[in-house]
Amino acid sequence: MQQFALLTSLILIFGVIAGFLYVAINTSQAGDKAEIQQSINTLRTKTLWLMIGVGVPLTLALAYRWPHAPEGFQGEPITVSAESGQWYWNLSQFELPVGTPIVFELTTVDVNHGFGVYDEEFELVTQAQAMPGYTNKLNYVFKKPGLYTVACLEYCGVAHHAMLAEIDVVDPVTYANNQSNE
Amino acid sequence: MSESDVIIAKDQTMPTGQVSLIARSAILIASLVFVLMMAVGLLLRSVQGGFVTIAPDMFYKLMTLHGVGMVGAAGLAGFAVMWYFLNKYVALSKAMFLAFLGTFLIGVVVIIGSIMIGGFGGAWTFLYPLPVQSGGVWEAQAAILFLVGLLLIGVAFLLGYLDVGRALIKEYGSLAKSIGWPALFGNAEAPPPTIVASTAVTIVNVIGTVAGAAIILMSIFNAIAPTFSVDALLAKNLTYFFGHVFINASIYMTVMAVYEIVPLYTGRAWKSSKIFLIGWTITLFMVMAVYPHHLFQDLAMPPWLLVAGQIGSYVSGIPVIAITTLALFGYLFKSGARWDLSLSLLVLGVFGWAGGVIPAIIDGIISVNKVMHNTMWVPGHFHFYLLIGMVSMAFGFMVWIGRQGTASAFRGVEKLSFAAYVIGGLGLVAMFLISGANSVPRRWAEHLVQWQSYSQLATVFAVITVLGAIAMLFYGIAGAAKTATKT
Ligand code: HEM
Ligand SMILES: [Cu+2]
Repeated sequence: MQQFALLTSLILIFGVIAGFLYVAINTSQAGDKAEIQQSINTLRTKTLWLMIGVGVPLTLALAYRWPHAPEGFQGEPITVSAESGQWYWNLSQFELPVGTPIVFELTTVDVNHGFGVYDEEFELVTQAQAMPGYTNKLNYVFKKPGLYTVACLEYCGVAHHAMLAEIDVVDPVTYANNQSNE
Repeated sequence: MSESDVIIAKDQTMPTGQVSLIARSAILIASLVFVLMMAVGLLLRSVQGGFVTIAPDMFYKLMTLHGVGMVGAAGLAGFAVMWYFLNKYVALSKAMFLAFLGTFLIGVVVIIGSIMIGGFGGAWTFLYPLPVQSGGVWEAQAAILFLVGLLLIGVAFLLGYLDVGRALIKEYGSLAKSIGWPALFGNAEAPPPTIVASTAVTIVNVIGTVAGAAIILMSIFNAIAPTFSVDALLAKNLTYFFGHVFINASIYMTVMAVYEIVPLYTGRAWKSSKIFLIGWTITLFMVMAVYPHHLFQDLAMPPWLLVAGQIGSYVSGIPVIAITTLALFGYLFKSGARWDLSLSLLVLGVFGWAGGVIPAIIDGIISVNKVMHNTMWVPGHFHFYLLIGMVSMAFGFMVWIGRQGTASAFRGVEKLSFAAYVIGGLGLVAMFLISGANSVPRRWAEHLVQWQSYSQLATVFAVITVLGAIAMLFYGIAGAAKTATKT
């Protein structure tokens, strides 16, 4: 997702750069004002139609599949309470099964915090805010097993960057065994 | 005077005398702040890169200073640009400008005191309840001082905008007329671009500042009497509404320099065409409607508001690209304009604005935001349209106003300084965006080792940017000094 976003942005930005360079190279020459105005008007009409006709349906389509309800979120979820405070995460369980819907119930005892979940390669996989007075429910399904890190993604004071916790994501059988051993 | 010299066109209608002096002083103050705060930004990036070690509380204090200093200077620079050009068309009060500037500067001093002496490090967004719940790092008094400083700055802008609004209504009859609705919906003659844009800015920024003042006051009450509490979601909405409107308005004000100065080079007047009027009317509403894109990860927000935020954040990018940028292309293309420093800076500014809109729109898609929100992608997009966009336009105005009517070639050193600013700025922004795409969080005093190389490269680009910016400030001061000795 992130690399795709970066690539899309870079392509579009290079397009804008190319436009500016093309115009900059042609600025110092003389040309017919009316003719240029005419072609700019045509270009603008096309751009507007493109941005409205393609862009608006696209952005609607992207919101249609509700992003806060992830794919594969079926069946009885496991509820994990995640209480935050300056500067700690307190999870009701630190081991979770892969491929199972999880609902993180995010709360905070003091200021706003951000519950950011990083996978083993330290790629951000999901996040939501923890807000005073509210319980925010973050739905997620872990796709791979491994040691995940919870990191704070909302500035909360001097130890914000050190507000970390770990979640061990294991296969469902191991998870069930460990649960029954407790 | 050599053949390559350009006479910086002097338009007889441009304000001179005291108005010019006031505007020049204000833009120089703002630019000085830009350069100083860039040096702070450079330090922040080098700390993240592991080149320099400072304690985290110091990092966050400096981050707060950098953020609030830059946003304040952006507002000041924008207001100076708008105020200067508005003087062409309407009668503004110099006393009111000085009251604005005076109150603004007192606010700045109070804020600096709250950070450097009081130890406040709650970031410029002062997100409730962090200012008064610092976890024991700074006292409530420091937070109150910071908030009072912000309030003073808010009052300063309200004074300034009230005078602008008064002058617009006096000259055009009503704000509906000065934003061009009679021309848009009928066939009345449209007001000049600067008037249309000023009207939109005045309306949105008065509303934005009032929203900001409301949450600042609530936070101050909370600091004095902790039993008075505020709903955290309401606080977030007010804060981001204010922040979003204010920072966008600063770009809208600065772009008036493009409307007014570029025609002096191209000989093609910037027109209030129908599409231009439509663009500003859409912007008027959109800039206020899209702020929920800062709240995509607040699951307590009503989903329809988030969807509206996603669509709005896309739609509000359309006028920048399809109207402003393409209009600029049409005015420049084969116009015979000769490049010099100020024209280059102004055009660079529009590029920065249009370019910055792209990563902003991408991050404004909720499903992308899920994994990009509060990563370095965010400073990536706003440094794009502030550093390469807004600040370049402000520098362009500063250089132009210092040189009006004098001969100026685009000399080698100037080209070099300009290139430094462009390359440094683009590199800096690229490193922010790449960091964000690699999940590096924003606002972290210490980075994981595997992230440090991004910050290290960024530090190199930051050094180049700062050098370029110092050169721009130097040209601005040199121009002002020359004009001062001439008159
Ligand atoms: C040489 C130029 C600059 C450098 C090196 C620089 C560097 C930085 C850095 C390192 C951060 C913190 C990033 C993070 O970890 O979240 C930051 C934040 C910020 N910068 Fe800059 N910056 C520069 C120019 C500017 C300009 C020109 C503006 C606006 C006019 C600006 C406005 C901001 C704002 C508003 C923040 C957010 C502060 C916060 O998160 O509380 N910066 N900058
Ligand atoms: Cu935090």
